[in-house]
This record gives sequence, C-alpha cells and structure tokens, in this order.
Amino acid sequence: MKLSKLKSREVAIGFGFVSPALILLIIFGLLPIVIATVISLFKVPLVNLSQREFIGLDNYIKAFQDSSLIKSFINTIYYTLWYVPIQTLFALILALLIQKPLRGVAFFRSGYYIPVVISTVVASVIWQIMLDSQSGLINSILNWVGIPQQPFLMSATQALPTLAVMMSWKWAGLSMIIFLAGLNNIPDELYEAGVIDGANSIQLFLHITVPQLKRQFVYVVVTNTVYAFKIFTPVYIITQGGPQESTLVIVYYIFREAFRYNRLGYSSAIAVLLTLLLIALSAIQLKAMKTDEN
Amino acid sequence: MKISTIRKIISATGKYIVMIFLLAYMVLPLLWIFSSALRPVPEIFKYVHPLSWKTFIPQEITFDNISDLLFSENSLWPRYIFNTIFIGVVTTIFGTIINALAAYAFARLYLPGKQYLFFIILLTVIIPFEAIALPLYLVINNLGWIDSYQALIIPLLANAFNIFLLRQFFLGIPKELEEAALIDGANQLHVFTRIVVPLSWPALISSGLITLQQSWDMFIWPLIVTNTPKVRVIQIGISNLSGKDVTHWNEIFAAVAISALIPILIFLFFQKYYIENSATSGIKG
Repeated sequence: MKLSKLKSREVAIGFGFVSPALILLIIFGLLPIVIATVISLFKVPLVNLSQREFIGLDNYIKAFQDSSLIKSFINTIYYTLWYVPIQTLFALILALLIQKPLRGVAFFRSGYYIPVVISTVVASVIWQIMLDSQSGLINSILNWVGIPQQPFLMSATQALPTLAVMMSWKWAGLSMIIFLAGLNNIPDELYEAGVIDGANSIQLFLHITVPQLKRQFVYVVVTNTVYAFKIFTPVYIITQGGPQESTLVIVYYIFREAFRYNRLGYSSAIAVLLTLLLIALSAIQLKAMKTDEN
Repeated sequence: MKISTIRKIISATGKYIVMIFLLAYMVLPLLWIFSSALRPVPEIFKYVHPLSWKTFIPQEITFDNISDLLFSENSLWPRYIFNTIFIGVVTTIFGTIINALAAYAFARLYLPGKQYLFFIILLTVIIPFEAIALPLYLVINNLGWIDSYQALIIPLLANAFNIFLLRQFFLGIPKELEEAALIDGANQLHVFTRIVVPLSWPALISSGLITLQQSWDMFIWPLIVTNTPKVRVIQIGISNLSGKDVTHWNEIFAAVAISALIPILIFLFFQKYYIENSATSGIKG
C-alpha cells in the first residue's frame, strides 16, 4: 500500500514538472499538424470556414499537377543546393581561422557572429538596399574593382543564388560556433603524432581535422538543409517570388495560397506534403552520413 | 632571422589579412547602415557611387532620421519597440521556466512512458513551424486571440530544442547533491529551485537567449496573427516600410539601424553565453 502511494506521488511530481511544456507543445506544436491534415481534405476559403466542401485527396492530386508548385519545389531545391555548401564551408573557414589562439581572436569571433543576432527581416532589408542594381553599395564596390554592374535581385538567374549568399552571411556565425566547439575538442596529441610522422598541414587537415569534425558536419548540414527548405522571410520582403517566379519557394507558395488566394485546403495539403518531405529528407541525410562513419 | 620564423610571421600576417577581410564582409553592411542612419538621405545616395571614403563616413551628421522615426507626432515606433521587447522578455522568462521544469523531469524524475513523451517532444522539432502556422492561426482565431500579446507569446513558450539542451545540462550535474537534499526531507520542487537552478545559471541564460533570439526574429507568425498596430512588432513595422515604392528612406534607415542595434548590444553584453550554448548543442549530436 505504502509503496504504491509513494510511486503515484512520484508520478504526480513528474507530470507536474513536465505538463506545462507538454500541454503547450501538444496544443501548439502537434495539434496544428493534425488540423492541417484534416483541412487538407476539404476545399475551404480562409475567410469563411463554414463554406467547406469535402473533396478527399483532390488537393493532393492537384498538388502533383500544379506546375507553379512544381516550380517552387525546384526553386527551393536549387536554393538549398546553393545555401548549404556556401554556408557550411564559409562557417568552417571562419572556425578554422579563429581557432588558433592568435591575438584578438575573440574580437573576430564576436564580429563574425553579429549578423546572426540581427533579425532576418533587418538583414533582408539591408541587403535589398545594398544590392540595388543602380544605386547599390555592392555594385559600387564591384565597379571599384572593375566588375560591371550586376542586376542581382532584378535578374531571374541571379536572384535565388543572391538570396542564398545573403542568408549564408546571416547565419554562418551560428555554424561557425558549432565547428569551433568541435575543433576545440580535437586532442592535440593527434596533431602531434601526425607532425612526428612527417605530415604537412594539408595532410593534417584532411586526415585528422576533417574526420574528427564528422559529428558537427552532419549536424550543420542536416539542420541547414531543413532550414533552407523553409525559407520565407527574404522572399516575402524582397522578391515576392519574382522576378518571373524565380524565387518562388514552397513556404511562400503555402502562404500565398492561404492568405492571398484564399485556398485554405490546398495550402494545408502542401504544408502537410512539406512536413513529410522534411521528415524524409532529414532521415535520409542522417542515414547517408552515418553509414560513412567507420 | 631564421627562415622558419619569417615563414611564421608571413603566415600569421596572411591569416590576419584574411580574417580582417572577412570581418569587413560580415560587419560592413551594418556599419554602413549605422552611419547612413545618421546622414541626410540625399547624402547617403550621393556618395554610394563611385566608391570612396565618403561612402562610409558621414559628411554631415544628423539625428533627424531617428527623431522623425521615434518622436514624430503619430509615430507608432515607440510602441513597436516596446511590444517587441515586452514579448521577448515575457516569452524568455516564462519559456525558460517551463522548459527547465520539463527538462528536469526528463533528466531526473520518474515518468511512466518517458520515451514516448520524449518522442512527442522530438516530433515538434521536426515539424516546420511554417507548416503549422496556418492551422495555428485558426486555433488562435477561435480563441479570439488575434491581435493580442498572448498569440505572440504562448505558442512559443515551450520549445523542444531548449528542453533537450537543458536536459543535457541537468544530466551533467552530480546526483549526490540532489539525493542528499531529498534524504534530508526536501521536496522535489525545493531541490530543483534551491539546488539545481543556482548551479544552472549559465545553461539557463544560454537557453533564455535562444528563446529571446527566436522571439525577436519571428516574422511569419506576427505577420499572420496581427493586423493592427496594437501589438505589432518591429519586424512587421520594418516590413511595412520597405517595398517596391519606397519613399521614406529616412525612416527605413533609422528603423533598420535601431532594430539592428538592440540585439547587437544584447549580444555584446551576454557574449559568453551565446558561444557556450551553441557549442554544447553541436557536440552532443
């Protein structure tokens, strides 16, 4: 009797601690995706929910035939292919540079991190101003070194990669810190042994540093990929999907379907598809990177 | 001098040059905005092209841009700034408390079906916010919370990532301290607040800063659930200012400068907690 009373008291305490977070996460984290799935089976305008019409999987069938949606999917992949390598390599280079205890390294480290803390909106507006094809600072700098004026965000071919460069500027500092922690954890003995064996710095880098950073590398690449797929803010603020739908990305498409075109059911279907895609993508990436480990 | 010493000096110098160049890349855009905010707008665009030192250094300093933005008669900007900071602080304080309690439960307390609960929490990390923004909007609408502080605070209080982070930290605290107190008859809540929390300040602050950053950076959510200036945040305010037909350049430069300055100052003040928190999250994998 006494034992079970003690146990149930323990359970009560345990749940007492965890409930606020759990309840909030279920209501505001999981319930919405269930609601989205239900809504996706209907045709319903955002402004009048009672005008709904059950259409089963029609929204999903429509999604696979929607050429604009397919374009936004391709754009998102294209963006990811630019963003992930640029951001990851840039962050790695920054981390390698500030890892050695040179004088004033903390100063550089803070400077490299600063773009992370200003908001994405602010970063978008600043770069939009700087990238102006006529009076932009960036074109001015390029002219100064002899490179002709670039249209950047006005060009259907340059716009998307430009956004990738901008966002990698914003977030590289975050990945840099992760790489830095990994680098600091590499025991000096490994390098010392390598030097004794006659390795030069490039060999040391390839055979010791890179393998030791495996975990950080996986983490950075996977999280960056997921993050890239979710891009929205710069597109909303700067390009609105243009020029010529070249920066039309999935999340912007979802937003537009719901809040501009009033197609709530369709928008929800795409959101569900995106969620499934991201889960699958993360799982595949994690698996692919873990099997290399031996 | 020995050749090897000369080589070292050259390599160190080369390194510094690269580092400075990259620092300029990271920081110059912000410095340009800050200096431009203090210049009369025609002057900003006059000196952008061709490039010269005048591009960056003001010929004439004026606080008009900033004072027009903040202090002109019907300016909503003081309200936006207050809203953003208020929402940020409330979310951070209560969010950290809620996350820490849950993290401690996962780290130390007895919970039947703990793995399943953990999995539920894990799911919320994987599901993109952008996918649930819309149905969440409907939930908020139903609750009558459109254009309210609650709508911008409550959905972001509990955060799975922070729960993981803090759980990891709590697991690292030696159990003996808590066990000793429990044997002495302290209840679990006392053990948590009087022993664990005082030992956890660095982790709690780091976790709080993550929450603060997320709250500050929010865009699509306030975009959807706020319509009036009542609880509008800075990010929406800036978004409203920018756009294809921009005429109020003075407001934009001032708004962007102020909006960038606030988190930068917070960062510089709390620096060491930012570095530590990202470090621990990366390693554990």
